[in-house]
Amino acid sequence: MSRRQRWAIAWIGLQILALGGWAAVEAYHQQRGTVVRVRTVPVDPRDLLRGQYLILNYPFSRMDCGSPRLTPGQPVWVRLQAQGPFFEPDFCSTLALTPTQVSGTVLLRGTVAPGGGLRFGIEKYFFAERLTPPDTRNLTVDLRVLPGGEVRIERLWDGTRPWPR
Amino acid sequence: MELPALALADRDLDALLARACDQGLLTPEVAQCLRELNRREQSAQSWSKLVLTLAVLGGAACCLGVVLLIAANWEHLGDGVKIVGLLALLGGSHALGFRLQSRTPRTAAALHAFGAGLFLAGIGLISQIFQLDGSATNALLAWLVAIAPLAVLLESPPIAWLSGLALVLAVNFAVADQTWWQLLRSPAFWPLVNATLGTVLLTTALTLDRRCPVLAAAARRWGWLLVLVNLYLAGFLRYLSDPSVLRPEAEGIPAASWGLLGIQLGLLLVQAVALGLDWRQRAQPWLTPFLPLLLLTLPLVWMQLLLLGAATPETLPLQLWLLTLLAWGLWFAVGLWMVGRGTQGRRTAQVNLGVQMIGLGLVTRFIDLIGTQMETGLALLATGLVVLLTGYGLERWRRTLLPGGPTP
Repeated sequence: MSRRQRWAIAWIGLQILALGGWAAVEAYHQQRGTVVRVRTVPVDPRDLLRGQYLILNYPFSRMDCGSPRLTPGQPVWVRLQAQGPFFEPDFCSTLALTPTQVSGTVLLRGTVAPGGGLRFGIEKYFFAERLTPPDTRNLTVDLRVLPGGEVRIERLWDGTRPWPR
Repeated sequence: MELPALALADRDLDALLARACDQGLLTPEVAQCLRELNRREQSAQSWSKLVLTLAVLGGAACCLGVVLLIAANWEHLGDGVKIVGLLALLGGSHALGFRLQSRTPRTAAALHAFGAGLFLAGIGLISQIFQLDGSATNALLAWLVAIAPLAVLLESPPIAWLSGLALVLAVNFAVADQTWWQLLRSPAFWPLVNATLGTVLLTTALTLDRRCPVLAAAARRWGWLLVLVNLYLAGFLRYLSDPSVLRPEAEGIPAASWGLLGIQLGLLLVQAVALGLDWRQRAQPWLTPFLPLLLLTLPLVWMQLLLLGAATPETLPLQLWLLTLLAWGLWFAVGLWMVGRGTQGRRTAQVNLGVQMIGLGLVTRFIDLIGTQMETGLALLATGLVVLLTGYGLERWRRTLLPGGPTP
């Protein structure tokens, strides 16, 4: 086996490690942070390119962060406040906010989307091809907010029942 | 900017061997052996290409098949099973590729390409399992970073080609993610970005030629593809440039477009100088500097496109026609250069590409110019006849240039 081939094998091993490691980190994230429930407005039941997706909009996706000129990709911080069973948007800033331990609030870190609005990487929810899309009128989402403000979709709720079951 | 060399045609070889025998350089027996050897070489070359094509198509089909099978059984497979299964398949395909390397290198290359494709599938799979809605550009760049070194280490043309695909897609997704390109009032920006990328790749190929021929060849193919496709499309942009979208309050042409134009012009100048320095070392140099000169006119096409942004309703039709004529003229000039250079250097692929460019240009322009009469049956009949006659003329022309070679 040539030296190049040995390097190639090592590189392929790194590729597998990178993908496996990424999956492990995301699995670890699923065990951390705070889970909050938010309202959502699904706007499109299907993504033709990638299959069955719900495209989710949130009340905090359209917040006014006060700054007159926001550029796409600019980081933003949104604070959610517990109001009854849901967490509702409370405050938005383009300045980096330090997560605090104030009870009943969480901080989400996002960016300004190219078409306006804010983006948090939780705007799409993939589901299997055979499933029928849920009734979007009663859909809510559990979000897992990680300590640094990163956020992941934990689960969708169709009324009082988790979806998909 | 070289394409694969022409295999020696039987008729040329016969003439050469006859002269060699007449001058006493070869015996008739040796000449006959050389003829047999040439035939075997030609047969082996065409067979290898067929095997590689089949192997790569098979690998691509398998990759898509794996993705669809996982998607179809999404709820029946656990997340861990999906991830571990895909990683095992990735490793397994490469392992099998290494095992077959010495006996069937083309099948091995296809298995490695399959593994390279699975890396992108892995990114997609993990994103979907954990509901990560990230940027497509980042995913494609990660794919590029993962597979480009593999193309070098394995000297694999299919993986080098996939690396080019990853780069082109990443750049286009990055542009699509931005909003500032929408500021342009003509669809100029997209072809300008891709033509600039093509020029970057052609220049990169020049510098990589000796250090990494596999990546250089892929960069050259992608570079040519981007430059030519966008030059071809520029001939139709007058249909897309609707005068009603001209806005009187427009702030002029965004600096980014002129920046891209400057980059393109600078890189083409670098190529012209590089080829100029190499000029005297070539056996038949007269055509070599002609291409950079031709390509230096390419920015004129994009400049004309950008100037559409400053056009008034009165000057717009004239500017659109000027753009169309520039694009058409350059298209035919590059096609003719390909034929001339290919004939000089006896490069079948280059001649074929040039002939195809000229043929496509002729047929398309004919249809383009009579577009308003297409509803009549007479126009359809005329189009059919032109297509048939063009094919006939091109076949005869091409056979005159390269007797004995395969028909494009």
